[in-house]
Amino acid sequence: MDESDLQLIEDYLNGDLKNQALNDFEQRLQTDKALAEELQLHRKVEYWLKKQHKEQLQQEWKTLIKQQEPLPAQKIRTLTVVKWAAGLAASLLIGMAFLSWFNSSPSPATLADAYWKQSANFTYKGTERSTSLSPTEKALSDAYLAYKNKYYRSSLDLLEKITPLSDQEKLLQGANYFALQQFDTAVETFEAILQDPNSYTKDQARWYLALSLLALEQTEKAKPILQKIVNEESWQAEKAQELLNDL
Amino acid sequence: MDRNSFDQFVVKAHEQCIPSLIKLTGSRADAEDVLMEALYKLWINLESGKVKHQANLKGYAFTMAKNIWINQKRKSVREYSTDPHELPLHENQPMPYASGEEFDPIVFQEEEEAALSLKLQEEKALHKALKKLDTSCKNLLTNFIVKKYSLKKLQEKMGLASTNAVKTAKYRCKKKLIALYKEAIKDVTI
Repeated sequence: MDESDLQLIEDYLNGDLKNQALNDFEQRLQTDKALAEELQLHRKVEYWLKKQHKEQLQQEWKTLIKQQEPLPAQKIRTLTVVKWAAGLAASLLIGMAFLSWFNSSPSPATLADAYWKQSANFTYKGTERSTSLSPTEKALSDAYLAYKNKYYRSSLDLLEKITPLSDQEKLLQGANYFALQQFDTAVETFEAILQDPNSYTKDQARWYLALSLLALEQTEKAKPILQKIVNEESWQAEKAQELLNDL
Repeated sequence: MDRNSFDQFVVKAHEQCIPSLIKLTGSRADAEDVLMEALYKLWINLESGKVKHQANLKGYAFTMAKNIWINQKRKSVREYSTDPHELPLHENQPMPYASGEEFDPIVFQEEEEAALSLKLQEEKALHKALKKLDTSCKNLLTNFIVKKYSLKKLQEKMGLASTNAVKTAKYRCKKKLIALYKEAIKDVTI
């Protein structure tokens, strides 16, 4: 098949052939078997390309919808958690109001929560979602999406499918534990990252570790970590200084 | 609307449209299928710029799903109708064994299986070819063929000098993909 015929096929499929040129091409298709077969092949490739794109997108949406649907047991647990959370929030409010009588500075846990909200942004930096992803990339992309949509348990489940986890993914894992208020596990996760002196996420891990310790009200353990961040002028050094001043 | 926002919209639309679609179709599976079909069409229309007003996308998705279901029902009524006026089933295709040849169910089944096997081989070959195609070409072809981006939009997106440059790039990518596909179809065995 020569170049000019391939170009003709392209123009025909794009609807760029008009009037006489279109008639001529369609006439040729009746007699030129090779041209007709090549056109058929181009059509097939376009058809499969569309089909694969559609199936991939629909599969992604189905997974996303499935993740958002709580299981019956989870629903009950959610209700219980909501009741507990409401009770806890009410107690906290009363406690905070009481505390404000004596001291206007917020508790370490409140500070940890406030600073966490300012700094805990995790974005997937892998392949574009619309292109075809490997199962691992897909799980990872979904884990970030689940975290973003506050489905922390689902995000953790997805991360479990990935072995081994990179340091960036371990950070996301720790963040999910923090968001689920499993601060002990969050501390363990961030400490594990810091075990490796060459870890490229150690600066972030150190900051999040300090916040997790504060959430556990372990201020004396958190302070030297914050001081180290300030001294080394590493990530969030200014915030670490502010936080030290507030403690 | 970007992909992440649309993903969030999908979740909400699913939650709100599914109960009515189950009532309409009579089954959850059918309701899910028509909604997925509608959402995909909506996403493609948004990407290609066909849908400009995004005020009531949920209503739009629901109406699309409803129409898809009605069309499917009409089609199935036509295909299974015994009314001779409804025939032929497919305008441009002769009925199998319509030429007076004797109908042999075993031969018919074998032919059906061969056609299905060929389809699977073709799909597998395209999958292989797409894996080998570089990302920029894959994105260009997806944006043009699937998402139906205009040449102007692609020119802006790709930072090319003219729409003719887009055409040339697309032509080269398509040529590469066809070559990879031809190579892959030779190796594919199901």
